[in-house]
Amino acid sequence: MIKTILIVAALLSVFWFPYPMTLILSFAASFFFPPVAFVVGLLSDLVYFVPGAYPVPLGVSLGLGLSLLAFVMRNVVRTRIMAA
Amino acid sequence: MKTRYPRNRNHIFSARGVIVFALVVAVTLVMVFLRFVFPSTFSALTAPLLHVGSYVLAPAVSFEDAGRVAAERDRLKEENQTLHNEKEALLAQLREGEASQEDTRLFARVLSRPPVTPYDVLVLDVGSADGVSMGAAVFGQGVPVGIIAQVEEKTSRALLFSAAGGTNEGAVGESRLPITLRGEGAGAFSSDVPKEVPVTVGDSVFISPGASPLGTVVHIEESASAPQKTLVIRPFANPFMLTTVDIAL
Repeated sequence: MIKTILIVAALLSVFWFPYPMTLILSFAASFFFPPVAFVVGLLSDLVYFVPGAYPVPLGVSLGLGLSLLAFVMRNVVRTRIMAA
Repeated sequence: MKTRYPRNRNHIFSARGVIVFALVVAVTLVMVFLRFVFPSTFSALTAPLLHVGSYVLAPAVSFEDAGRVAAERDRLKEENQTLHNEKEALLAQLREGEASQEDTRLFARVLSRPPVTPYDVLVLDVGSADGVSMGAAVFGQGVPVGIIAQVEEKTSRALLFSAAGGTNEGAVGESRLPITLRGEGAGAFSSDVPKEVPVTVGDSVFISPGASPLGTVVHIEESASAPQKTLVIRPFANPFMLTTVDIAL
């Protein structure tokens, strides 16, 4: 339930909330489902990015980075739980 | 007691993992396909969410009397600033003899603005069906704020002059000394000028199109060793607060 709410909130925050909140929500949701941050970042760029707005599409770049980070952190935590 | 481990320890390549990954890839491809092949359809799907967002983030009207008065005060302050900017623009036009020039402007509502958008971009509720074209000038609170950078049928996106990394030609002061405005993001500008250029804090900054002043110089940074000084420019129109704009047709 929490997982679904977080993922939906992260997707909707692209349209409703300031982008720092979107970053936080997508990172939090990525702990349950790592690709969420990338999808949220991609959606953000598809909705808002225009050529000239920034040298690189920030949403895709940050989303990919957050997804990878969440994936690594998630696996580290899982490994420690299994080893305990 | 023997510890039991799951048979398939490799969660990445489990059947469930592959299905989920394929689903994510499919959703991603569909979004990208819609956006670039059917941009109007994509905008039609996202516009309702943006409309809801614009109402959600609109200044909330409190049920308390004090809150209502404060909201009215803020509205009047914004209106006062707009009238001040328009007065400056008209004075500038009179001085340059452009008083007879009139351009048709289209009123547009801002569906999304910074900081909801991570870029200095405004999403507007008018598009090609309303006569909006690429490169059209966008005015907020009576001053030029950007140009139309992307147009769909019912929506469009305005790229603000203050977008990070962007440069525009402008002028400063009464004598309209030419300068290059550098966007710093979040509505801010800066410009590097030679030290001997006579610029002071409070000088108006102009940008084409139009003769309206864009903002003022609020700070000048200079060091003894550098041959240039940096003008820090604050625009009159705050992109974080823009709810409506005018587009020159």
